[in-house]
Amino acid sequence: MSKYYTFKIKRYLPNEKPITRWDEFRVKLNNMERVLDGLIKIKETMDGTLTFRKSCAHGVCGSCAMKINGKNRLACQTLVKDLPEIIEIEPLPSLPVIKDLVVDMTLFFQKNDKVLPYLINEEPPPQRERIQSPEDQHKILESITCIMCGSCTTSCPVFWSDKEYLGPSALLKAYRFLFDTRDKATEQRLKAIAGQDGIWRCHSIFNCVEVCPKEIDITKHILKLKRLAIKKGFKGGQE
Amino acid sequence: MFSWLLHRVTGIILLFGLMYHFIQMHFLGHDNYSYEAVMQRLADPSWKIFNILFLLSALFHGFYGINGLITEYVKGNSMKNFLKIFTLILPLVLAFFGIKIVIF
Repeated sequence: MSKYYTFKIKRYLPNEKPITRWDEFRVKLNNMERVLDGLIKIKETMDGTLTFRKSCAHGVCGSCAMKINGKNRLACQTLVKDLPEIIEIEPLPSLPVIKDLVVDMTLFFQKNDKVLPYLINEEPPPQRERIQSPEDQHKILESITCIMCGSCTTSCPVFWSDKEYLGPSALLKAYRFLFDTRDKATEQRLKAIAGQDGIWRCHSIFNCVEVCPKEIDITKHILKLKRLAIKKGFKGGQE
Repeated sequence: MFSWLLHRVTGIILLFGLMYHFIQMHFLGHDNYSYEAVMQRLADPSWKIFNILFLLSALFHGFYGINGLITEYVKGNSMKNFLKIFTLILPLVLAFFGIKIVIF
């Protein structure tokens, strides 16, 4: 069963006037197809200048995060049949737009780098891998599923107003290493996230949880980080 | 860090403190206020302690919130720091006068 959908797309064309405008396209799609299929169809048959990011098209790479009908989601994971006939598409909010639906993610990845997103363990590595028990793995399983699409950080009202804030995505990454039993740099990591622009700026708004395409309860993870920081603080650790 | 924890704690104090304050001051039928009755209550040490605690909680809780708003919404570091100094000085001044009134 196929049906016509109207795609209203917010364009950003730096070399044209006006720079921003809304374009409308009528596309026929069946109920198995996703918003991304619609975008590809528009680019191939109607307007080749339409620009958007896509890579795997299977909800794994996180390139095609965009604001669809007012909510950040992955275009490749949103079926058109679940949406109304008029589909409004905008780039991710609060990041600088490069063209159409492509945003500059530099700031987002800078935040990610600030939380030291790599294993720190000074002990000499064993003959084979560093063993992790299934129980220990389950502690961080949910945070590992993050694909870093940027939906959460760009939906966070604190991030909208304060670009210094680390944002839910980076804090989730911090959680992933802080609660990893193989990692030994707890103090260093807490120092990186416990400052003025870190965990204490989270006001538990839950926007990140609502938009996360992998359904990670990010706010819960940030609250666990706060609890850990307080516990360490009482034990006399740094911050 | 501890300021964040204290913010939560003062929030709880305010919640119950406010209930107690309202019940005591507005809902319990104190007909015919007399000067002596009011003076007697104000001279009660437990009433004084409650009010000082209530005042300090409210000041800390409120100004911590304003401090957070400044951190998030004010652009420009010099303006930010300037306003933040105010959120440190102002509650201290208010606490000084508040405690002075409660005690004397």
